[in-house]
Amino acid sequence: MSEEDAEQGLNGLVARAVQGDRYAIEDLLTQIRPMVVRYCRARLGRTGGGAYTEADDVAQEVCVAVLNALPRYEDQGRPFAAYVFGIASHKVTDAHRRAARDLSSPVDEVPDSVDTEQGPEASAMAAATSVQLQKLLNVLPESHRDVLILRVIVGMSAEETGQMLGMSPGAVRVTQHRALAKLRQRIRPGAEVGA
Amino acid sequence: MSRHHLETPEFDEGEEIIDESVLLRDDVLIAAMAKGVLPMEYSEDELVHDMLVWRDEICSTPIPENVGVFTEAMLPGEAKFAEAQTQLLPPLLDIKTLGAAKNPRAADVEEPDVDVAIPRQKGEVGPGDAAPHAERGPRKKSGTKDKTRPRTTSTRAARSPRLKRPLAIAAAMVAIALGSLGSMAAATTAQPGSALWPIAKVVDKERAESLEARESAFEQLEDARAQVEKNDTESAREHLDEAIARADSVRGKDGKSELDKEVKSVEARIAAAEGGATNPTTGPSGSSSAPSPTPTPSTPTPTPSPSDSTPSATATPSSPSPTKSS
Repeated sequence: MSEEDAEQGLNGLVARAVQGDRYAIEDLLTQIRPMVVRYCRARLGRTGGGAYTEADDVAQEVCVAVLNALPRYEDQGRPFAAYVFGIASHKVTDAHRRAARDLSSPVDEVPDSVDTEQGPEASAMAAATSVQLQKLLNVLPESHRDVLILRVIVGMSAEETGQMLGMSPGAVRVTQHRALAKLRQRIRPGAEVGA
Repeated sequence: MSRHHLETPEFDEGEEIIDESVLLRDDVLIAAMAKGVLPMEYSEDELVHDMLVWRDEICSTPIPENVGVFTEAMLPGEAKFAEAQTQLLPPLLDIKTLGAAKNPRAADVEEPDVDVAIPRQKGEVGPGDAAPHAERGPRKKSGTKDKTRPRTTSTRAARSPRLKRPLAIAAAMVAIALGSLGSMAAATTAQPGSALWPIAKVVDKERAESLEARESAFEQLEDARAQVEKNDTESAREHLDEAIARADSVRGKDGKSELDKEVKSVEARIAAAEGGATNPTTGPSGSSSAPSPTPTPSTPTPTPSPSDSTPSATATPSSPSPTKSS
């Protein structure tokens, strides 16, 4: 399957990159960067002026960290992407910590009050939708959120997601089901769950 | 290994038993959302709609071009690879001189604790740690093991933990220096009045003085012309003399010849004005040479821009603004 081929190709690339093959390193980073950017954007959302500036910065930090860590990388049978996402996850956590003072950044708590500034029409706007969902996601347990992000945003299969997070594919499917159910509850309180 | 294939779910964290068909349905839904597709049966589903909007925003916002991934910010890592390249590849970067860094393979061989990737990262990529591996240096003890490495002693020195952070710092300094080289270059071509002019004055004092002298000489000539226009040849002469005095300290390559030309032209104009003096306030010298009272011999441009100036002052002929600086 194409995804497996991609993973195979990535692993071959990683092997050469670890050896210091500059072209392989460049190819590798070119390949992982879009995934990292998506992941960071999904985790950090829009900040400040409504752009993904911070998320993209963190994504770049992740790429730097991957580059620095490459010489010490050893293939343990896990996909290289898992290694990358391990780094990304920590960088995002750091960014959250750093942004704790910045009120415009997502925090782990949902605001208690209803957002009075946006009526139904305004909240239908894409940006608001996205921000709202971002807030919802931040309430989910970490594993739920990560599964959703890896599957929907990064576009991984349940198997790959499981490898990333150290779960079985079955557990991934259960988790994603629960995550969706929780989000449904939050987005429309009282709605029939999973129906 | 189909994306939609459903394995036996593990209810390791669940209390209730979830129907497999429900799991399968959500799995199919998620796979569709991952492709940005809104399945028909969910067209009214608010959550699915929101998630698709969210995904679309993330995926469609273009990824900023960070001028490749190999920027100065990555110098420490780059240095490491640069050394590996000296063994495996023809060098592609000059930065390798920075790093007699370790051979990644040797490090891996001697790393017994390389484990699952994620836990290891905890210590490694700490916040703000530019060279996270620095603290992990002492692990590799025997640099001699590596057969491809002829420079045992030097590389061992570089691999010692004490030298690693200095290496990173040195790399950072080089990055800064590279950056400031650019500003230096810009400063050396800066013109009076530009933002970099104060720096330029420090960088090349001689050039700065010369340029400033040229500026003020042109200003004086400008004043002289204005006075001629008012038939005040006397103060025009004063300005002219001042200009000539200033012109003395202008270097040849900073447009001296043009300045001299300008001086001559103004001089001619003053002489002409004096010759055909009609203004009673100025004492005409009596001699009569030029009949035209207001001749405009040459250079009609009010602010002559030094176009034949030095190669270093190539850009911004428009910038020299008549600010009195000397």
